[in-house]
Amino acid sequence: MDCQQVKRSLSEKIGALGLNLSEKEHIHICADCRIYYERLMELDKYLKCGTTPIIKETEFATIQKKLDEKIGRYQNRALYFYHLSVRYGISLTAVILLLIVSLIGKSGKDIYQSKPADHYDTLLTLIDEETIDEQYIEAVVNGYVQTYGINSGEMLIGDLTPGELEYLKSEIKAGDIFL
Amino acid sequence: MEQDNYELVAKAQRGDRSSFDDLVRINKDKMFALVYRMTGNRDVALDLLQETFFTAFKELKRFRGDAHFSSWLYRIAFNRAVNHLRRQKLLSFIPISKMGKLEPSYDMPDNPGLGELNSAIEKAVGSLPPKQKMIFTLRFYEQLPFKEISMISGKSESAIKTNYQKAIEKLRKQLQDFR
Ligand SMILES: [Zn+2]
Repeated sequence: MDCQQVKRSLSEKIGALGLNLSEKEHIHICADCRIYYERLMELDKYLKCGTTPIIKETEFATIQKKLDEKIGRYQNRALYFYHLSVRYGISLTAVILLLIVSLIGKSGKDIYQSKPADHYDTLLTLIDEETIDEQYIEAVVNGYVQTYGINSGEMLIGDLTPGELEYLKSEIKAGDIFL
Repeated sequence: MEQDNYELVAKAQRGDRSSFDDLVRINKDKMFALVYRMTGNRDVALDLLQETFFTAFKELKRFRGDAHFSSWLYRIAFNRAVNHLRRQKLLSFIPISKMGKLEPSYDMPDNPGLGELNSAIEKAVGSLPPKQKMIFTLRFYEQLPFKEISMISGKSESAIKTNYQKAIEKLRKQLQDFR
């Protein structure tokens, strides 16, 4: 085992530290990895001092209540649409779908051709959506990383320059919600 | 635990609401720990927890049982948390006049009753990029195998290990003042 292999496998163990025979042998003869291991042990000890976030019973009761309400509304809506679809059949669905598709297409053009003020309002509307399109996000982030060469993970919390933001915005199309 | 989940999921998929409630109760602490550590904000974490379970309710029929139920939930919770962080990121680019006051992105160090070391740990974990934060939380605190984390995040096992090592290195640097 070389030092890099040893250090990597040591890091993987933090939280469940225990050495196998070849690691023990290596650490015995290699001061660098021995120090690395000791530091990891210390880190392990420190991190375990952290408190586990616990949800209080009162908080959980609130969540249950909200969840009940949401599920109730969801089921009623599902039931309503079921009755509706039974009553009016596929033709109504087709009409609604066509309408939605044409609306989405229209709003897509509007968002990025509108004035900046409208643009922000549209963004505010978009961010309330629940959609997550992982493949799309992956594609945008990859494009971003190729252009700017930064770690895609860091991008989420690092600060973007105006130029970088513009690039990102230009990649966002309506209907593709980057959130 | 997973055995309990397995039987409850089967019942809940057949429409048994009390089984779903049991699933919520059994899994709430683990999911809360993840979203809290990812967002660092208690109120936000509670909202995300509720959204996670609502999404799970809606999507339950699509759960095929090829992964642990808790892994499936973790994935939903992770997506919700990343959604939130992206939303925060986007909101930070919208002029404050449009927004009112922005929500603070990380409030853990202000929590009363936390020792200095605790705050430092939570702040250090909180400063990791979202994916590393998730990987670190699931591995270090929840002791999940790398393989399972790989299934949850949709990334390869070796990418998970690399990210875990990166997270450890960052934490080690950030917490070295406490040695
Ligand atoms: Zn060595």
